[in-house]
Amino acid sequence: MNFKIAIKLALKGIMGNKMRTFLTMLGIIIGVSAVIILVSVVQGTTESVTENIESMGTNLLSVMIRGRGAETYLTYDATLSLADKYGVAGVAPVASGNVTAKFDTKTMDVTLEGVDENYQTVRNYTVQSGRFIMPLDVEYRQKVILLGTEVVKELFGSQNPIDKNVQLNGLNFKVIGILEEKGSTMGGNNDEKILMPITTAQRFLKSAGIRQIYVQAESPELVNTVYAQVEKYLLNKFKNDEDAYRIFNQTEMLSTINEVTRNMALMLGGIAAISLLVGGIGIMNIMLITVTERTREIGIRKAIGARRRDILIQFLIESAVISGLGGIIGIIVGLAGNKVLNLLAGMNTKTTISIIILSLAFSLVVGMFFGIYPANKASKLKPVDALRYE
Amino acid sequence: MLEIKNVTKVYNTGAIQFQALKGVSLKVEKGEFVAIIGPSGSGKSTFMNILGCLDVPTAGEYYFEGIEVSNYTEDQLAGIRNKKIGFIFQQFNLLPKLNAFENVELPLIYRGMNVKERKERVLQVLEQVGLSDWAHHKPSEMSGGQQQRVAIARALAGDPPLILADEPTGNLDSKSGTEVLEILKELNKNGRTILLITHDMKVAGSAQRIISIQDGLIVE
Ligand SMILES: Nc1ncnc2c1ncn2[C@@H]1O[C@H](COP(=O)(O)OP(=O)(O)OP(=O)(O)O)[C@@H](O)[C@H]1O
Ligand SMILES: [Mg+2]
Repeated sequence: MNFKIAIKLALKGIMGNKMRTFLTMLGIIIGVSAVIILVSVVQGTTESVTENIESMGTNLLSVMIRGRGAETYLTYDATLSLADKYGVAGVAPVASGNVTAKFDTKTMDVTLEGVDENYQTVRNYTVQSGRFIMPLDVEYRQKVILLGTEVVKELFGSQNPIDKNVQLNGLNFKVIGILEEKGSTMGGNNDEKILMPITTAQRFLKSAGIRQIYVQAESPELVNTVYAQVEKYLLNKFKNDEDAYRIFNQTEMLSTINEVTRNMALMLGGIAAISLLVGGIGIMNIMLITVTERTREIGIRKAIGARRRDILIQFLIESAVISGLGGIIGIIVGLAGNKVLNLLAGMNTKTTISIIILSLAFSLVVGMFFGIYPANKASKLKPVDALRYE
Repeated sequence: MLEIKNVTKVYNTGAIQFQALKGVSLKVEKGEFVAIIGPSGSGKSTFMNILGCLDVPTAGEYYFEGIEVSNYTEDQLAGIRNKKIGFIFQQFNLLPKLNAFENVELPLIYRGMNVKERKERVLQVLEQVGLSDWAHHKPSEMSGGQQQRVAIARALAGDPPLILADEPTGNLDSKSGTEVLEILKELNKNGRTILLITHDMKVAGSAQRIISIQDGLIVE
């Protein structure tokens, strides 16, 4: 018997009892849509977290200095010596503090970071208008600043802040540029800050110390090499006191996050897959009932020449069609669910083709697997017994 | 055409064994029209099921066109039923969800015939039983006589040499019954072997030869 007719007959059989078919499919529909929604949410979240971390700059080590005894910081020149180490693409020391910024009548408390020209590439910052800090600004301790977008919004509204003077703790600084919007990362809001030349900041904040350094490696493979060298340098500097500093390895953090979320996706997907199995048992149950109800039909088919495998295939196709249709509806429901989560809860969802194919294939397999027993039972009926059945 | 020798059939219903056929022998030649009569419960349907390869005898031999089939596998028997035998039942036994065309088409599908040939053949047999206009109606939309004619068309579709009819007129009014008998006679004239089971002596009268069964035995 050919396949097209078998599927046509199966559809006919299924459509004969729409309500029952729908209820049977429901388990599969719920299972498949749950798999799709859960996995998409996890993947979407992973993606935005990863993007977020990567927006801080790539192949990054972030060093915090706590100090040991009287030595609580590094000098600017000391940090620059790190740039000569093998595999280091750039070093960006930061001298930071909190200041009150004032323009016209508006004031705002912001984070001030004193940086040099390397900061822009190491931390992956772009300037949306004006210019970044240049070596000369650092050399001559220029009183110039760059503003984050939040600061611009708060102090200037819709005015152009370039070349205007902003008062920081009462002193005037000239705005030379506006940073591109970055959003918040785990380090806090990146748009609520002001950058100025590091030397200017050291004097302005009355502290010569550098407590934070970003070190960028040339490639992901070199991150560990650079880590080792930076650590060696710091151990040497602080007399082997490991508590004097802390180094965050961004690459490592990313892979940890990826691992955690992958496990989470597997776990949630697994739980959803269990509901698919339950759906499969539902199909088996209904198929068993169907076989009993259609005993006479099976007898008639056998009387006119259906072989065991014809009957087997017919019922297998029926359960596969139920689960396959359920799978397709489940995918549609899942995608719609993603859209709703996206629009209403602002969740970032990411659905890959592979998860769609996987869940459809899985539902088909479930349908076939749980269809085997009823189909086999049907195919084994003796024609006489089946014909006598009322 | 077919020959059975000393066939018995025992039904096991729980603890009780019931012998429905107690050693039956019969030979039917090609082209014969044979009626089998007997009271209810005498074993007519049991006999017909064995002749129709729907069931296997408990003991005895069965030669179909000269070949011993009593120990054929189920799928081999299905092949014989599909190609060699056309069944007509008292309850019509049409599939209610399929229309007349699809019902008649079914044995040809199991035979593996291609779409074009199938369509031609189905329309041809539907015309033969006078139901060309009813091809797309479901059994529930037809009268008993029409349904039985669809069943006859289905039996004929595969062009089998043997037609087995188990009380084909049992559920029909006398007019439809006569029509069905006329078709059977016509088929016999065209060279088909017909085995007709009935209660009704009048119906049996259409046959050339009448065999009577009582209590699982052929009595004359
Ligand atoms: N599957 C079965 N299991 C047990 N007993 C059976 C079975 N089939 C038939 N019988 C018994 O065998 C006997 C013969 O039955 P069969 O159906 O052959 O009679 P019949 O001559 O066709 O009767 P009717 O004219 O009523 O159709 C009956 O007593 C019936 O109860
Ligand atoms: Mg009977």
